[in-house]
Amino acid sequence: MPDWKAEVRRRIASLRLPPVREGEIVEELAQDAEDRYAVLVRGGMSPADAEARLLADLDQTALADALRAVPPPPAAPPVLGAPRGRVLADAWQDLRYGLRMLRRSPLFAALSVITLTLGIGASTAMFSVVNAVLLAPLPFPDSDRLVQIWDSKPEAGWSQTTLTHANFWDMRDMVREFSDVGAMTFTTLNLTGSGSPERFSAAVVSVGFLRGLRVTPVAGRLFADGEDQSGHDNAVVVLSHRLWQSRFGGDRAIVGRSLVLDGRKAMVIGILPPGTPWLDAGDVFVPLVRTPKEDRASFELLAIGRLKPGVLAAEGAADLARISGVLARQFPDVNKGHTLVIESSSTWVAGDTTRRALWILMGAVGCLLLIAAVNLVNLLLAQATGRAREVALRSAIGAARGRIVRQLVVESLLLGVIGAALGLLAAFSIVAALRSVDVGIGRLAYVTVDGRVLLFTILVGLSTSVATGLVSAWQASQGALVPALKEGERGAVGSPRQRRVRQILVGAEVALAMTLLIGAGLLLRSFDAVMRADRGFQTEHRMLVQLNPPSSYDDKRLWQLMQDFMARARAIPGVMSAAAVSGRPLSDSNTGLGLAAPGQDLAGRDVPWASWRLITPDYFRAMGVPLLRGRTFSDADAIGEGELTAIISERAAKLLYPDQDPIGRQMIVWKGQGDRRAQIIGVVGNMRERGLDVQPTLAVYFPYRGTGWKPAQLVLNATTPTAALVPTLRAVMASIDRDVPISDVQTFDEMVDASVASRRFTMTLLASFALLALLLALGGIYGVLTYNVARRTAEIGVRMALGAGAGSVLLLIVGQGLRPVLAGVCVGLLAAGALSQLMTRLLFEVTPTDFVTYALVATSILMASVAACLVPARKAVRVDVMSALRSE
Amino acid sequence: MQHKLLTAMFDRELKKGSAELLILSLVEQEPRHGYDIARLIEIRSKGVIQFKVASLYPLLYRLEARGWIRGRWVEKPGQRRRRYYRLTADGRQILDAQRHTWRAFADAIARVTGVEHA
Repeated sequence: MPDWKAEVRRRIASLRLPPVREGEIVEELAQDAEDRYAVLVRGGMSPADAEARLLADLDQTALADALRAVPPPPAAPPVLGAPRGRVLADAWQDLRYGLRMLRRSPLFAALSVITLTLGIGASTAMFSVVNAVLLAPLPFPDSDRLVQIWDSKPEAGWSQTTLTHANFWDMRDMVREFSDVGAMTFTTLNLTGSGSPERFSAAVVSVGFLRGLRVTPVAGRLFADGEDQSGHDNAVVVLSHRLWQSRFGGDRAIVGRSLVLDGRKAMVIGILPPGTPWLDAGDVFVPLVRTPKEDRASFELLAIGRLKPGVLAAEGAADLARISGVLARQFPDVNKGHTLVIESSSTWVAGDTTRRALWILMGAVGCLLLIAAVNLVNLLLAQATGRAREVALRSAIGAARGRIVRQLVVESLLLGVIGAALGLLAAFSIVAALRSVDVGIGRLAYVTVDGRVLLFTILVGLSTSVATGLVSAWQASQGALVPALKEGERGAVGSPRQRRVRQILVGAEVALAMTLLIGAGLLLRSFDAVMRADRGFQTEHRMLVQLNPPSSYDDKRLWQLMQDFMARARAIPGVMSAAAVSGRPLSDSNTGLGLAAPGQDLAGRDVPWASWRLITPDYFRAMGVPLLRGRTFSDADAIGEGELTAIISERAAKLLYPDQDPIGRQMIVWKGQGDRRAQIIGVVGNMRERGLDVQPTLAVYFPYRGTGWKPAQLVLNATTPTAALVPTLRAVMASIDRDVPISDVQTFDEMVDASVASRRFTMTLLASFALLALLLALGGIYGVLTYNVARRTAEIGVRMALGAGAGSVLLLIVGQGLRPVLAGVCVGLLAAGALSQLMTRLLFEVTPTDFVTYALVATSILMASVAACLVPARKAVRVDVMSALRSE
Repeated sequence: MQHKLLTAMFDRELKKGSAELLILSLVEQEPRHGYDIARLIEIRSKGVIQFKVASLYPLLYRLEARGWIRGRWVEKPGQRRRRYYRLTADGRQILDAQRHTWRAFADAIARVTGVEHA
C-alpha cells in the first residue's frame, strides 16, 4: 500500500500552509484514501489498479487549486488555561467550559438557578411596582410645575383640607404665579332615556382643572372659558376613556351627540385619554359652575394649580399666602387663621404610608436578593473547594490566576443570565397577578415590565453574578498550590479560613431572613390587632346598597321614596331592619364639623373636629350600635323644622359634658363655620368609622329627613344571602320608581376587607418575601452542612470506628451547623430592632420591638435550622464505617 | 430519454452548487467524517454521483470557512482520530433555503417538461 500521507503532502506542499493546518489536511485526506483503497481491494480490484485509480483521483493541480480557493479556517482555540490568548476565543472557551461544569453537577446548577430566579424574580416584580407607582412620571406634561392646593388651619391642626367654593373662586381671581388653577368635586349622575337608568360617577371640574393638567383629549375638546360660569351654556360633558370604551364602544362619533344626565340634556364635547390620577376620577366630567353666591362654610373642593414657567414652588406658596391674607381680612369669621398651602404633585399617586410601605417592600426584596447572592456564593465556594485540585493543577501548568478567576466569574455569570431570564418570567406572572388586585394603591393597575424594569433586571443579574463570582474566585484562588494538589479528591472541607467564610455567610443569611421575618411578623400581628379591634358596629348579616335618585328630586319626594323603599324592604322575609345614612362607614370621604358646648371656654385650644352623618331612625339598630342614653330619632325629627336635634357618640358626650348627663342639653355644631345650636337627644356607642386602625371618631348624627341628601346609603340587617336579596331589592325599587337605580352593593365583610386591603397587601408581600428568605437561608444551611458531611465521610468513619456513638456524631454535626445560625439570630435580632423603627407608621397596637414577635421568630428559625441540620446529620450517622475507611 | 436529460441537468446544477446541498443534508442529522459523506452520497445516489478526494475536501473546507459546517477531531476508543463535520446554526438556515430553491427548481422543470418527480 502506498504511503498516502506522503502522496498528499507532496501534492499540497506548494500551498505553503501553516504546519499544523497542513498536518491536519494530510491526515484527513490520507485517511480517506486509505479507506477507499481498502474498499476497492476488498471489492476484488487488484492493489495496483486500486492505487493507480486513487492516485489519478488525487489530481495534483485540481487539489491544489481547489484548496488554494479555500479561505483560511478560523484559528484553533488555545489550550485551556494557556497564559496568553485572544480575548474572544478565551471567553468562548470559558463559556463552554462553564456549561460543561454545570452539566456535570446538575444539582448544584439547579440550586443556584432556583436561588437566583427567586431573588431576581421577586426584586424585579417589586421594582416594577415601585417603578410604576412611585418612579414613573405623571401622565401630564411638565408635571413638576403641577401642585395640589390645600386649605389649612395650623392652629386647629388642619394641615390639609379641601377648599370652600367661595375661597376657590376668589383664589382663582387673585393668583399671579399660576397659569391655571382648577377645582374638582364628585357627584353621581343618572343616565336615562335608553332602557333602565344607569348611574355614572361624575367628576365636577372647573375649566382650569383639565387645562391645568395640559390634558390632550383623544377626540373633541376640553371645557372652554365660560363653561364654568352661570349664564353660559353649561350643558356639556367630557367622557372618561374608560366609559367611552365600555359604554360607547370607543366610537368617536359620540362627540357632538347629547346624553340625558339627571333628566337634562348635555352634549358630549370630548374624550379624555386613559390614565391616572384624575383622568379616572369619574365616568364623566361635567363643569363646576360658579354661582353668584358661593358657599363659604363647606370645604368640598380639591384644587390643583400649574405654576407659570420659571416660577418656583416657594414663590407659588408665597402667592397663595398673600391671597390667604386678603381672604382673612375680607371674611374674618370664616377665613381667619386659614392659609392656602401647596403640595408637590409627586404625592398624587401615593401618600406617605403607601410610599413608606412600598420602599420597605423594596428593601425586603433587596434583602432577599442579598440572601440569594450569599447562597450562590456559598454554593460556588463549595463547588470551588471541590475543584481546588483542578484549580491548583491549572495554576501549576501555567494558567494565570486572572484566567482562573475569570473562569469562575464566567460560570457565575452564566448562572446569572439563566437566573435573570427565569426571574423575568416569574416577574411577568407576579406582575400580572398584582395588576388585578384592587388595594387602593394608585397606578397599581398600570404596572408593567417596561424598559426600565428590564434594565433593572439585567443590572441586578449582572452585578449579583459578577460579585458572587469574584468573591468565590478570590476565595478559591487563596488556596496554597501544593497542599491542594496533595490533598486530592478528599480535600476535607477546605482550609479553615474558607470554612470560616462559609460560616459567616450562613450567619449573614440567617440574620437577613430573621430581619425580614420580624418585619412580617410585626405586620401580621398588627393586622390581627386591626381585625380584632372593637369596631363599635356589627358586621354579620349586614349589607349596604346605594340609592341614586335623580338630582331633580326634592327632599320631600326623596323622603317619601326612602320611606316606601325601606318599608317594602323590611317586609322581605329575613330582613330585620333597614335604615339610611348619608355616608358609608370606613369610606374614604368624610364629612366633618367643629364641636363645642355653649359657653365652653376653649382657652385657645383647637375646636374638636367631629364627623357628622344624616341618619334615619332605625340606623343604630341596623348597624348594631348600642343606644346608651336618651332616644333615637323618630320620623318626626327633621332638619329645618324647629329645633335641630342630634345624637352624639359616647366620646363626644364625654368631651362636651364630662360629668353631666348630656341629654336635653345644647351644643354648638359647625363651631367656627357658622355656629349652629343643636339639642342632644341621645348618646350612642363609639364607632371606628374612619378606618379600623383609626381611633373612634367623635361623631354627631342628624336626622336625614328634610335634607334631600343624595345619594342615600341603605344599611340592611338581613339573614338572607346577599346574592338572593339584591334582585328582590331591585325589583322592589323598580316597582316604586323606575328612575332610581340601586348600585354599589357591598356586604359589611367586603367593606371591612376593602378598608384593610392595602394593609393586607403590604403584609402578604412582606410575609411572602420573608418566607422565601427563610427557605433560601435554610437551603443555605442545609447545602453547606450536606457538603461538609459528604467531605468528612472518611473522618466520621474513623470516629465511629474508634467508638463514637451515633448520638455524639449527630450532636457534632448539628452543633457545627447551628453555630453560625445562633450568631445570625443574634445579629438579626439587633438589626430588626433598629430597622423596625422605620415601620412604626405601618404598625397598629404593636411596638416595633414587640417581644412576642421577636421570640416567636427566633424560636421558629432555630427549630427550622435544627431540622435543616438533621437531614445531613442523619446521613452522617448512617455512614458505612467499612466503606468510609476503605476510601481512606 | 427523460432520465438522461435529468442527469445532464443534474451535472450542470452540481457545478452550480447543489453539491453543497448534498453535503449539508448529510450532516444535518449527525456529525460525519469526510469518507462517510462521500460513501453515503455514492450509495444513496446509486452511483450516479461520486465525489473524488480532490474535490470533496476542498468543498468541505470551503463550507467550514463560511461557517455552515464545523469540523472537529474526534477520538473514539480503539480507533484513530477522525475529523467529524456537523451542521452549524447558519448552515441549517442555508440548508433550508437551498432545499426550498431546489424544490422550486425541480417543480419548475417538472411543469415545463412534464417529467414526474423522481
